[in-house]
Amino acid sequence: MIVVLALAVTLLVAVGVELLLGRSLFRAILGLSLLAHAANLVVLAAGGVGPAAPILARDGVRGQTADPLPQALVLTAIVISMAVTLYLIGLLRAKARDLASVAVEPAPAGDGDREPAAVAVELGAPGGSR
Amino acid sequence: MSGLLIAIFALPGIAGVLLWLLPLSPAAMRRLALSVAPIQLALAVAIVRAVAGGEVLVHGFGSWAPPFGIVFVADRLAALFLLLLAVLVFFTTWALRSMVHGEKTSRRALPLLFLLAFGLSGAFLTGDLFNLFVMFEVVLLASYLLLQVPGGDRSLRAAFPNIAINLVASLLFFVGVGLAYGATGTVNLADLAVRMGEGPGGLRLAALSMLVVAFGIKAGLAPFLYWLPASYPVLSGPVAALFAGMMTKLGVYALARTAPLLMQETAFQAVLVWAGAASALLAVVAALSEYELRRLLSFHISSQVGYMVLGLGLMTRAAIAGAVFYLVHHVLVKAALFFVADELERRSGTRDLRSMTAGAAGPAVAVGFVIAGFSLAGLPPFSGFFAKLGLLRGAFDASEWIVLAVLVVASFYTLASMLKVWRFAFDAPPAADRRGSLGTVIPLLGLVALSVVLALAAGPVFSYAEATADQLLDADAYVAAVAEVPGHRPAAGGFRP
Amino acid sequence: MSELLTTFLVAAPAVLAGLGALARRPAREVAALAVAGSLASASSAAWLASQPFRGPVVVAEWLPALLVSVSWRLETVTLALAVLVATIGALVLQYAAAYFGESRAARGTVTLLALFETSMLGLVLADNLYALFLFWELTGIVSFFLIGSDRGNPSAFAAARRALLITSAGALPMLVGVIYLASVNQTASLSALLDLELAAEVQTIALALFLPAVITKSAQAPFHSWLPGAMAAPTPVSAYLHSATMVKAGVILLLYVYPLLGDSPLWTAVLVPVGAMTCVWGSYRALGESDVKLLMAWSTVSQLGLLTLTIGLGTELAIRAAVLHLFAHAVFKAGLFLTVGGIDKAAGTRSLFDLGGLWRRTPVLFALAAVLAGSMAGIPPLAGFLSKELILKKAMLTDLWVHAVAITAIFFGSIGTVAYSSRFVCEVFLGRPRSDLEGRGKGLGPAILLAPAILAALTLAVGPGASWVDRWFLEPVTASVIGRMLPEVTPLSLWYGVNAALLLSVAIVSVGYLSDRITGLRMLPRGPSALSGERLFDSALDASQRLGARLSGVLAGGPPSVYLGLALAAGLLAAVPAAVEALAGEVAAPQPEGLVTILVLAAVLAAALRVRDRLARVLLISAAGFAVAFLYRLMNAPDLMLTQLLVEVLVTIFFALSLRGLPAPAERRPRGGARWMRRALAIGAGVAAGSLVLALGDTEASTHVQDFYRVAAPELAKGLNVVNVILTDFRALDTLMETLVVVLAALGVAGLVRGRERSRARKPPQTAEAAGTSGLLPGMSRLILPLAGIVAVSLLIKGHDEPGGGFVAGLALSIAAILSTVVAARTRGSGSASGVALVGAVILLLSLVASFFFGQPGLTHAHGELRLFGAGWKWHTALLFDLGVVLAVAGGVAAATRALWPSSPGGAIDRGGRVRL
Repeated sequence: MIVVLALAVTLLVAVGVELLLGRSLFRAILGLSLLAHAANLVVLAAGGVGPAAPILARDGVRGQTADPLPQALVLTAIVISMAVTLYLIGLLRAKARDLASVAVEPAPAGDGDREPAAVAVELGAPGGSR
Repeated sequence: MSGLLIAIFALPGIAGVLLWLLPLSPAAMRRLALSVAPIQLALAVAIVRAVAGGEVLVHGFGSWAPPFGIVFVADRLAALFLLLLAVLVFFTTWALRSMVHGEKTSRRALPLLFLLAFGLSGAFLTGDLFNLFVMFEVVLLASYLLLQVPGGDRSLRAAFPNIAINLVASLLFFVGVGLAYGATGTVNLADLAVRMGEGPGGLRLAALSMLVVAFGIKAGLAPFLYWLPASYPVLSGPVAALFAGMMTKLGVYALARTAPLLMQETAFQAVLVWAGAASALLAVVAALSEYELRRLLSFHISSQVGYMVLGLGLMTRAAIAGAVFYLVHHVLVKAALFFVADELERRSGTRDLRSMTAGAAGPAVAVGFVIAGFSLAGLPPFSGFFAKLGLLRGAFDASEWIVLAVLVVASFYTLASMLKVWRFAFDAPPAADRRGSLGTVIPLLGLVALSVVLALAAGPVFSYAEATADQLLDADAYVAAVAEVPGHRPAAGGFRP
Repeated sequence: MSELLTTFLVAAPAVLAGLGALARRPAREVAALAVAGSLASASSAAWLASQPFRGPVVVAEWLPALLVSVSWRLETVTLALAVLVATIGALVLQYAAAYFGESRAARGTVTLLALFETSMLGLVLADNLYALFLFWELTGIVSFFLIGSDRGNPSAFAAARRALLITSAGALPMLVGVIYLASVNQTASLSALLDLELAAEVQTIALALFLPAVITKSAQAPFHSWLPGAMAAPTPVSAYLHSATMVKAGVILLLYVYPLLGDSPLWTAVLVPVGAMTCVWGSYRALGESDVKLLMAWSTVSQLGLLTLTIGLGTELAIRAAVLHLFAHAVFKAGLFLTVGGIDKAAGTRSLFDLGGLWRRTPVLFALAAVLAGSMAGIPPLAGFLSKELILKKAMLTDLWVHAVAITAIFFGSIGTVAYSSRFVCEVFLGRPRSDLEGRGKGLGPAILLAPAILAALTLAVGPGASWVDRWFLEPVTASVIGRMLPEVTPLSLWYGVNAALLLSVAIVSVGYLSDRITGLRMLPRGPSALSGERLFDSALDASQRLGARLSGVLAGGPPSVYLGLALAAGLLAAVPAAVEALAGEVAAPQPEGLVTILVLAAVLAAALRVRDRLARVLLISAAGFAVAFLYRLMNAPDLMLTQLLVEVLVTIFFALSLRGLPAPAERRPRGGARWMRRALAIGAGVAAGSLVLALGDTEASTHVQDFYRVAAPELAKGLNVVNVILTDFRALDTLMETLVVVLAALGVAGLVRGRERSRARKPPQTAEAAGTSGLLPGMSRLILPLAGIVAVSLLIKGHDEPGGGFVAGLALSIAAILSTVVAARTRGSGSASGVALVGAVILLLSLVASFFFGQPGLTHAHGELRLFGAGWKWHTALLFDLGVVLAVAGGVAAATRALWPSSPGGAIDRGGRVRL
């Protein structure tokens, strides 16, 4: 089983990195979610492979089960990365609407609103979302 | 006694959610916020007083004994961070005024501000590595949202670089926790400290290095600092001051918390030292070429984070004490300088030093800048001098000559940058008294006053720092303190009998 | 007692002036206060000197851990210097009051002057070396503002910056030196150190660290350039900084450490050549300046060189000569600068070419200038003559090469000095008055003339009173510098009989005077400006700025992908050792269904890389997510599988919603090199991560935690689904915070999108019909939510014992909400969605503190059985906790969706102004 996980992680990380390091926010989001999958699998692997799900029989007899803790941690991580992905999607939406492009370079050093005029406008209405 | 921990942790969380949920008028929001912040401050002071003597406050959640449940631990280090956080939250809340920064800004920022404080205090308090990861996430989400508060293209453009690098850091952090668990079967810090030794070498190395890289990114060390100058100039002024003071320090805190427990006598010490030295030097030189005030200051943040990290890496009593003292100085002064930047930008309507009208900010801000700026450059008699002295002394005792030289050169270039700011923003003939609305200057002057007090009280504060260093270096004491948390535990105790 | 008095005398000028300034008194009154303070300082210093007590006095420990303390060193020399500093300070401040008109600037300058005097007093009196360094830097800081006191003038700023940067660059090694001395000897007290006998190499190291400070502060070549530049300051400031104080600091430090470090070979080897060079170059340049003030500045450089050279000779008699010349120079140079100020006022110009015949207008000023310049030139019977005589004599008592260098330098330097002194006097005051000066300038009141007069009187008095000066001043001061009484020396006097020194100075005076008279007003060339100190300094600063520009480009200029790649690489590099270990071991055979999953995954991902259409790509990626979910199933993690499936559905719907109507951007293909770099990194990272998993495969970690969970879950926490028990009980805090993360993210999305789409005021009135849905679907959609609600509740309730739980339930509910939104385009109650989320958050936060009121730690759960209707109903507060999770997740996600769904006007947020993001 561990081998399967290893292969899966290899694939996910490779494709994830390839997508993440592209220059488009859209691809980056997809890449990040793949990397998140990979991370979850790694942590799950840290618990080892158990013979049964960590759900105990009602009558109290319990055989050996998979390690529950990594599963709990991974579940938390899944939800967190979902939340962040949702936020990134919203960002993608907003950017696309605003900038009509999803390029993700940071504001370059000599960036647009260096012109005092432009900045003055932006600062004139502090915090005003346009 | 450990109820204090729950109180200071829950207070900002509840305040933040209520501020968000309740339909309050801006004035009412401000009243609520300004009544919560002092309470938080008082609680922080109480905690510092409680732990100053060396006692460690612990609280096991769900009445499960560690390592089975999550535990909060407040030692001198955590208490100090809580105090600094409370101070900054107070001044930032004060500075966020509708009439100054616009109603929309204060309305949006206030709840997030407290949720950020919620996550931060949780991160400072938790004694559980995975819980620390979750706290980081809360802090990050709040910071993403705060970054969008000003609105506009600039915020959007700054968003992704900031989020992406932090996501990568989080992934590394998470995997690092997983590997640590794989190696030791626990995620409780104290338990890890006990068991880290026995795990297989390869895994241990991988786990620790991923943690170090993740924390290094959060701390804004070179070469992972690009997101600082990309995002800090975008934040609305007071929020930027809080970020400048606290956000990168979260990474520093994580390093200070984990390094003495998990990395003593490992190669990671050298890694920290050299990574710190590199950022200390590179970032400060890079700052020389910047003309956008907050970008310039952001580079300086990375440089001074380098100071602290190399102090931690040296891991001697003197060096850690120096780093801790430097931290206090840095948080106060850097936040003050970002308040200065906010004043300048609002008064002269531009972010670029070259197009600022010198002297527009008035005498009060100028005085504040002179003290804060020269303090940042480590000139006596300001707090920065004693901070620098502590680190120099630490480097000297460890006979790290190169580090010593780096510190010296870096402080010289810091001075050069500060003089540049003076020249463009303040070097003007004194005009007829234009006193800006004093209300906006109070946070700035308050922080500067605190840094002056720090300089005058250097003696006691430094001895607190030394005590903190002793406590950090004594991992066994930490483990012992955590081990005796009451709660359900198996017959054979959780920690190795 | 004496420590308090010393503290008072140090602080007095600044405190009084500061109070005056704070009270916004006019400059004249502030100056008067400062003068009073200075006189108080001078007299109390003199009184202390008259007392028998000698030694250190500690006022307060400042930072004991680092040996920093506030302590004064009461020695004859320190007190004598204090008297000098305070006296000249008083004179200069009195002069300044008359010199400046009334202006805010003047008040500032006067206050700064007083502050400067205080820091200088502290410098000469400090005993703790850290305190000395502190005052040393303080003089630098204050002088920065004094030199740049012509605010807003770029050249003034440049001069001030040069002064501060050069001097503090030199001071930094000194700080290291102090740390060195302090930690080697466990004390930072100068007095204590002076009692020690330092090892030779310690002396040399310490001296090497101190010398940069001395050379930069005392403007020795090649770091002298800041001093002439500092003439941008108003004349009284120059008069103070460049005679008694700032520039003397370096020399004073040398005198202080002479007994400590004087034996080091470095002492003579560095100080003599540097001093010689400075001495000659300074007086050469002085002859190339037509501005009288700049002439004086260069002469100061030269005189400082002479002092350094003399101290460098290192013999005790040389020290004696240096002490005398230090005081003599302070007096006559301060006087000369003040005279220059007078000239400026009287004639309205400072250029030698415009001046002349001024003696008719201001005979008094002429007399004073003549006396002071004569002293500078070393004309008997003035103070300068005595000191130079002494220097000449000592210079002849040392070994050969030093002898040669010293004598030559002094000879030519002094010839220059005589020449420019005579040039100063003759060209300014004698000769024909320039006609164009008539009407310009004004007469000088006594207030301007008082200070120079006093100084001139002083320099006159020394000659006749030589023996008195020797007995009451020179001998005790010298003794306290070198630490012991000098052996029998020929007492100071005007006439030692005819000897080499006398002949030499006769020669110097005559040659100097004649050469000046012959050359007339010809200005000597300044030499290549590329080698001028300013140029060197500025180009160095520019160079580091250019370097900085390149660095900031490297550190923060590139696209994020570069740094992301770097971070990933750094993180995964660490995996290599583990990977190697793992790949070395043998590998078990994979199981078939696992391999099938892998193949599916590979195919899906490959396709995802290929396709261009974005929606298709989204679907493929979520397919990969389903494959991962199946892997969870194989790993016996049903909860994970459930959650993963729902999450994938949710994210896919989100993508679909947000991609609607977005222009597909032209995907810029990176350059080939970058692309291959990326591929390599991707594959490398993949392999590293994969083998990391293998490494995890064969580790036997301790199982103490999971074992406890398996036991405690059913017995103590009353739950059979251990994962869910961990989430809601053992590690409930994680769950609490993570739920908050979901709420933040979801409401953040709402804020992001709403903030913009609303502002475009484009609200298509979409109804169900407009949305293209038939009338039937809405009817069905009304059923969606209730049905989903039932499902969710069942998931929630059994979650504690079987797969399910809060998150799963919440996700199911929110998906249902989305479907109903999409199908029916319903917007009603959207405002409440985020309200629901926050209510969930409140529930969670309350559960954080609730158990407190039952004396339990936070997040402690309770459970029991409720007998009702004859049946037992199990209850467990974990259920309440999970309910909070459900509300938060479902509400948040619903809010976000409705924000994305355009038919909703701004969606979830602002309805009723409930939620503000």
